[in-house]
Amino acid sequence: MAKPADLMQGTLDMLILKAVSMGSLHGYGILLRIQQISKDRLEIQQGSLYPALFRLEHDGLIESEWGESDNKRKAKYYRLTAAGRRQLQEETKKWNRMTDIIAGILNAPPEEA
Amino acid sequence: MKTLPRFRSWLRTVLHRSRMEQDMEQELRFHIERYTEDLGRGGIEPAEARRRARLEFGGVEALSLALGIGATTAIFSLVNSLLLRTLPVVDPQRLVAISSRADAHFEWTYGTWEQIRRRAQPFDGAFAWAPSRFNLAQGGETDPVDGLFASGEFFTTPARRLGRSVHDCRRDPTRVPGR
Repeated sequence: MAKPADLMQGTLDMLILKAVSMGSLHGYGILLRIQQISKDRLEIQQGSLYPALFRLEHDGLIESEWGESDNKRKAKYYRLTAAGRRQLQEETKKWNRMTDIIAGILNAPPEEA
Repeated sequence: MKTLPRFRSWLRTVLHRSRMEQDMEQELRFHIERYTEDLGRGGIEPAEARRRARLEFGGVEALSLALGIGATTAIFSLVNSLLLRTLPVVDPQRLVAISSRADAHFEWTYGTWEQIRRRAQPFDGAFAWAPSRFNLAQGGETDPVDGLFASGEFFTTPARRLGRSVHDCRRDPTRVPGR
């Protein structure tokens, strides 16, 4: 199996917003969901997850609440706020536009000399 | 737009600091426990699974990491001027800078600092720092700030009233937290 790719700088926030947009999750669950959707092709540094969560909550894009996990342990669950939903739409649009442009450039046929 | 949630988050950090630290510690412990269990299910020995789960967080104590996150993200960026610029130094007249040159900007090697640290008994303590430039940007344009790399004693030696902050255990990745 190919080695999982490292995450591009600045994209983790976007992936977290997407993961919690599908339902509230605890930190570890967010990690698992992103890995599952990417079919394990993406490697996320676990240590960078919590600073990102803290930052997103700090900016009001997600909010958290203590709840009970499947095996009766206390866990902190995150969910998207209205501002987070707007941000996610915005970022998705921006990302798609950007990848289109970059792909267009990279796939341009070589010029005849 | 983000000013209000940021202010609320800042207020929460300042007013409920210890509560927030406990929350973060518990959150990280939960993560490490779940990950340890998942590794265990994959057939890895419990002790080895635990070690690997910890390693994902740089092998540091969960609380120390929690403090790091809280301190860097909220405290540092928002109360920089409130806290750091008015450091409650207990006896400023007893602070001494050690330098081999008069301009006090000469840098020692880490080995030399270790020697000084070990022989600091005539003083209440010793701490070291080195100026550096950091990039705060998450992506895109760089956002450089001036900062310091500091030893674990940086906050406790000159200013005891600052209480618990960045703990020295981060220097020792082999230390396992007590339960």
